[in-house]
Amino acid sequence: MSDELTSDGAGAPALHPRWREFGFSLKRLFKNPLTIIGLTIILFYVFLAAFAPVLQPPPNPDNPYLIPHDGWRMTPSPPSAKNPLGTMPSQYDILYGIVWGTRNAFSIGLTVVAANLVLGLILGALAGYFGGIVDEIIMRVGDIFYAIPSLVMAMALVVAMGRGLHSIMIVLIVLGWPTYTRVIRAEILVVRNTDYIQAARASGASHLRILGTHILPNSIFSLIIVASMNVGVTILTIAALSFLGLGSESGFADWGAMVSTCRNFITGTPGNKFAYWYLVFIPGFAIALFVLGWNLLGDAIRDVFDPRMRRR
Amino acid sequence: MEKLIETRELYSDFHTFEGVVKALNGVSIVVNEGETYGLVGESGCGKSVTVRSMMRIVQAPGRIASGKVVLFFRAEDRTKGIDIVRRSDAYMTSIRGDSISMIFQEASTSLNPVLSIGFQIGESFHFHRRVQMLEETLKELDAEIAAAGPSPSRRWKGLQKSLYARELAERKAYEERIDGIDREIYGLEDQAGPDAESRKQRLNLKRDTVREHGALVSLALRTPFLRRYRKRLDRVIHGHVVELLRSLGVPNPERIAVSHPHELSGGMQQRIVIAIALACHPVLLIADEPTSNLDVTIQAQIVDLIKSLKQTKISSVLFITHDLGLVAEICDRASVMYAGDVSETASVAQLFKNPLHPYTQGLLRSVPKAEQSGELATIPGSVPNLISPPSGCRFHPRCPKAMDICSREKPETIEHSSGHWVACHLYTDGKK
Amino acid sequence: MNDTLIDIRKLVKYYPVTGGVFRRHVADVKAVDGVDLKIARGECLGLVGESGCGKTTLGKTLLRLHGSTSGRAYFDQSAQKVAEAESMLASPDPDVRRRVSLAEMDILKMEGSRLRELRRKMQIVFQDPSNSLDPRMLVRNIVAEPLKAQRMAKGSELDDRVLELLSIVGMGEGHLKRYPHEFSGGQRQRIAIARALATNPQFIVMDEPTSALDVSVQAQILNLLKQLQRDFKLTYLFVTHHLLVVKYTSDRIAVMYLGKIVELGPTAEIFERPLHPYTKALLSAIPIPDPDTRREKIILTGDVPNPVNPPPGCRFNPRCPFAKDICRAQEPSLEEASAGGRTVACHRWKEL
Repeated sequence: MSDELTSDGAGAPALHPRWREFGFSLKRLFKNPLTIIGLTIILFYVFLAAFAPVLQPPPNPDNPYLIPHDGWRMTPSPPSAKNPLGTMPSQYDILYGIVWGTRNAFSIGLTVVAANLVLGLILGALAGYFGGIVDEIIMRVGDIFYAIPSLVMAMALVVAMGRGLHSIMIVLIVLGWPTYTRVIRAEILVVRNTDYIQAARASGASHLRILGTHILPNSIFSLIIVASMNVGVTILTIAALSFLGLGSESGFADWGAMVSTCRNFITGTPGNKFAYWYLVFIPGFAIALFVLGWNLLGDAIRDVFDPRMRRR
Repeated sequence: MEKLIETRELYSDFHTFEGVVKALNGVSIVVNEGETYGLVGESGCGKSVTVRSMMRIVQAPGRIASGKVVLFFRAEDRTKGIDIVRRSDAYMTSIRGDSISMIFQEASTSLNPVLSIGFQIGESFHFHRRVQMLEETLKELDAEIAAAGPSPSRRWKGLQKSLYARELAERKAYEERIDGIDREIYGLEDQAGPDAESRKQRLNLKRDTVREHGALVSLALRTPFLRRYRKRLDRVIHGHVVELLRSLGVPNPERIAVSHPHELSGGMQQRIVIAIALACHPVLLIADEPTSNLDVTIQAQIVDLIKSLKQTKISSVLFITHDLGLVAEICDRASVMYAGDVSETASVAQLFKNPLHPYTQGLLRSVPKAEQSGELATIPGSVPNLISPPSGCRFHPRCPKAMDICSREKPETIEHSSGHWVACHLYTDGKK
Repeated sequence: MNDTLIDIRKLVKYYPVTGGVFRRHVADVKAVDGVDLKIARGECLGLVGESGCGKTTLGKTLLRLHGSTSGRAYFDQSAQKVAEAESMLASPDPDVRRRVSLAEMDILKMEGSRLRELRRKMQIVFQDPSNSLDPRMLVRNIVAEPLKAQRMAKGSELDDRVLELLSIVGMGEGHLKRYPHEFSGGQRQRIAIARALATNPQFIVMDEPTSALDVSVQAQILNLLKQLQRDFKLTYLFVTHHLLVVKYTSDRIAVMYLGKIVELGPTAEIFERPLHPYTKALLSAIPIPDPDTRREKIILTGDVPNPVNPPPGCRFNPRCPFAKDICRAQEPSLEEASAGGRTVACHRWKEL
């Protein structure tokens, strides 16, 4: 009475199926050259962040994010043997700022995205699964938050809580959750009506069990894709807000803050517009490359995990 | 009976990420004029791929690997066929919808939800019967101008008339040129050799690149305000559309022609799809499981419709289905396919009374019948993976009568009795 | 042991339609509109009808996958108790009515732990096996899930039970640690059946279990279902639109049209002598795989109507070739046609 398997073999496969699926996804991942580029970029930055204490030993071990400066001269100096990437006004070393700024970027970016993920997951799951009035409330509150301009909100919070990176992080978390909520709610609305969910209900599974075992594993991939694409945007927004002066004070190893410190010297001298090119270009390039790396990686992750493109 | 369309040793492959799916393994079927031909099989047997290869609408990553698809349409010589596998795309576009039409399983996805029904049916007329439509429009215009007498609208009508006349002349010239090229290719049809091949290629290229409209008409077609003159042509086409709907037994054809697909039920949508397919009186109608998604009573309506149309509008139907009951009801001859092979071909009476191939026998026994005694017999196992199909005869792992030779050699298709062909080693021994 | 396992009384399921700016309740999709049905223990009752007739909704409402609008359903209750409850409910005195505590008996009103207990005894097999198995779960976990949800087994006991269930449906140990997409349609349906059997149910709703499968696989699954019914003394509600399948599997057939049952009776009798015009049309429309049969086909005009606005009087009258004035005016009720449990809802069944 039994019929054969579509795949061969009477016994179980050698490798656990979850690893097999993962291996399959990885193979697809690496077929794309852009993935390799994105991954290389991110790995480079990870290396910088991980080995920051070795590459650029902090003069002040208690607060390594304070950029060392040799003197107080206002005019920035170009790259030289002593300061390989030059110095900013007040002689802050750019190279130090870039290296330690990488650590900063990772920690802030990933913290914001992680917090948004958790918040979005919980709220989106509630809205999508239970529907009705819960759904309405959450979605309308999300709409309200969407309507708030981020800049104004940031400034208000800075006034309330004081200047600093933590204010910016809170702003981004508070303003970013509607996007994630929407994404997962949409997925859940689709998954909710499938037969296997109904079969689980017919078996007497509780709501929590259905949410945890069935709904979330099936809807989480779009969220991961959105999250990975969002890391880049988050970093950019943080840099912009720092540039506007809402973030850390000058002298702190944060890329946006670094450009902010050099504000007066961006246009160069009357005779030579590009006299201080290194002030804008180097931190700017660091930001742009970082965001590019995350975007490429996010694209690749989406290509691999998008269920529509899985088996072509 | 005269042959209408034939495939000879058709091989089609799908180059997917996981490997090459050998969907068709040398399919040869012959459809004669005036008959309803059934293509039966389960999912994955290749019946849809066969038919799409015949119309050359196989979607990438699929392609026709080798073989011929020969049409015998040309009135001059009904025995000399046209191999369409390597013809130009423009040629295929001109025969699809005109000589061969196809209807698909899901009527709701075959229709464009944002365009009205009348527009969609009118597209067939617009594309294939342009000359006739233009001539009728001109006649109507002439009559109106003669009747109206001098008036401001006369200038506008005169302009319309000149534009239409120009378009008509260009279209006629275009069709003549196309005809000429087609005739040349037809003449070269049975010639082989590198010389003939290169000439055929050049002609095919020319066919693809012939331009339809001259400069003036193209300009007129694109200018937003001037384009209003097309409304007259649309109205003429609309009249034909309503007439077609009425002849198909659609109630209230005027109202249906201006409504949209989502306002209609499944059965009505399938009728509209049939209307689009029949608009230009095709020689062959290919129906790919048209009733599989419909309720039983609606299915009976559609089957009745197709049967009645066989008398009047279409000469031949190629009907694909997995339902043996439908085959028994509608078809004259049928082929049973399994995993890319044609196992058996016969007239329907012979197929049901005297099935030769073990697969056909198993299939007939596993279908619940009205007078069912005892259990349904089953065919053990399941349909094979076509990326690595079984060697030799593809059915041998599940065949109750399999022999040694079945796993080694693919069986030839032989004519067991008049009109009854089977591909099975059980019958080839005596005939070899 | 009670003879009647399921007793459905006046089951109604409406889906509200909202319209307008303020999303008011403007109409109802009358999916199931007053169904009375008794299913005997150990039988297979076939429920046939076309799309929109409400047969799937009936099955799912019975399993509490949808809420019901009104009506009662009794599971495994003695006929006497049911009769008592029903007569009390029908009493004109509101006090009497309030005293009936239906939460104990009526499965449509059970909640909490009683509902969970009930869910052990009633299960369902869905139509499309690619949709009814969680694509991200291993087969082992899919089949084990009802046992885990009902806390019936754990650990090695659970593993043994899963293996046992898989072998009942003809699959083996090598299939445990795989994902559903690695299997063919027939095998997936077997996994779905194994899952349905996990909690030792008494009653299983089969919602078109073979409609999405190939012809040869369909035969395998139908034979399996028959065998399981014999081996485990199960009761089936077999919902399908395919009349020849229902003839092969069912003891009795109920024909539904637009939310109501129009004919009910033993299978052989319904096929030999259909009484309702709709049943006659359905039977004549089935394609028979035998080219020699010549039948008089009744081709119905028009389309399957919309359950939002059922026609007045007998719901079938717009399409019925035998409709008369009385059919348009008054809705027929199910009346007994013969002694063997045959009922039909038609004004003119005696004459036709």
